Amino acid sequence: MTAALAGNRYVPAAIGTGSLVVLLALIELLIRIGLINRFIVPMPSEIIAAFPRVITEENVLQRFLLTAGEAFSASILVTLFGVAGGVLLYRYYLLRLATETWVAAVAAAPLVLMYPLYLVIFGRSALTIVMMGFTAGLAPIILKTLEGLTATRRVLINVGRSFNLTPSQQFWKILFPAALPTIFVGLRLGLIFALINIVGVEFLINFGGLGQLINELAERYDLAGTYAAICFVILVSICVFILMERLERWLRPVD
Amino acid sequence: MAETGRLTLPAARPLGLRLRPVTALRIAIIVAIVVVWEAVSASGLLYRDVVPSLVAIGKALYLTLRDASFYFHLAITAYELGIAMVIGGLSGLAVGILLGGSKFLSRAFESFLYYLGPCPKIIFFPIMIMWFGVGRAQKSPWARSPASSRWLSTWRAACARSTRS
Repeated sequence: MTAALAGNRYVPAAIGTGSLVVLLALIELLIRIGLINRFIVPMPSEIIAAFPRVITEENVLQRFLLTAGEAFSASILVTLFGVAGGVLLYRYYLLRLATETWVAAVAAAPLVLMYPLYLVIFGRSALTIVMMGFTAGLAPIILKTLEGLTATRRVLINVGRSFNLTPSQQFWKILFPAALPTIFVGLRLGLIFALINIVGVEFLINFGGLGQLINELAERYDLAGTYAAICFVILVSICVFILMERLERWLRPVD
Repeated sequence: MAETGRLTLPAARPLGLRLRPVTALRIAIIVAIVVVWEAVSASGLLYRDVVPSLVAIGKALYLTLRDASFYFHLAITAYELGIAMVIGGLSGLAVGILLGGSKFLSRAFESFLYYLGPCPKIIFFPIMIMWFGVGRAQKSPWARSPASSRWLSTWRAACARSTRS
């Protein structure tokens, strides 16, 4: 019975969405009867009602585009430099041996703490936010690109050799396609790190798009608006994630 | 024969200074970074207090490590981290086992977690302050959320593998 339900395409999704609706209704009820303080948690109906206000009065579209633009710029930078860095470490083995552990250490470090330094270097502007996103997303992409290239099967490289491919052909026709799935894992990680830092720094320096909006609304004690703005940030995250999935499918249509 | 780009290094041979090539390169990189840092610090291109000289940083680090209050703050951070890891790890583990053990539950609820994973957790900061106040209790749930997602995904994958096999 459960297996049949699980096999159905729509039933699990409907149950999942239904559960969320029931949970929200329950929270609404608990707030209305006073078991949850409405000055700490706003009613879900108030949050829904706040959406049009936040969209029209707080220029959400403009802020959304600003955050999306910063995320996009950081994504381009991080992809170019991250993949190039991974290829560089793959190509120069000595450099890889000397620096791979350092790159791994940078990936684990809380780089968001560097924002005061970036503020002085780049000023309180979108450039600081983009550079923070870039810094945070770089290390995972370098490491995953390196891992993908290193894990290329020997037989594929030998096939390239048997066809007497040039180094450039060997890279673009053998190494890069073989490493692409792992590179995309790195890109996904790197872009998530970048997005987290972009919104985080917007929030911390009170500048820019949706991160600043959350900060402003929270400081105004507009709880319903704060929750609505949080929903918009979650929406941006989902959009970036879906975009990455589509891009990955487009670049490698055959698994 | 085409070059594949994979270099095969001979076994580490000592240089004149009896340094392995990797160690020598590491030292060279560190020296280059130190020289660039000191040059930027001395040039005045950036505010001196933002890029201070390494000597000043070393002194400040020494004074910080000598200060007893530093270890108190370190202990508080370690305590918060420990609590957050325990709560996040256990809750993530429980949900991961639950979703990994049931295909139906997994298909019903995993998409929410899947899309919530890449969401920047700092946006929940104002909410957490409202829920838990300003103190240690507020920081632990904040740290807990990414920890939960990581544990969750790890254990979800582990459970999915075990159910498949």
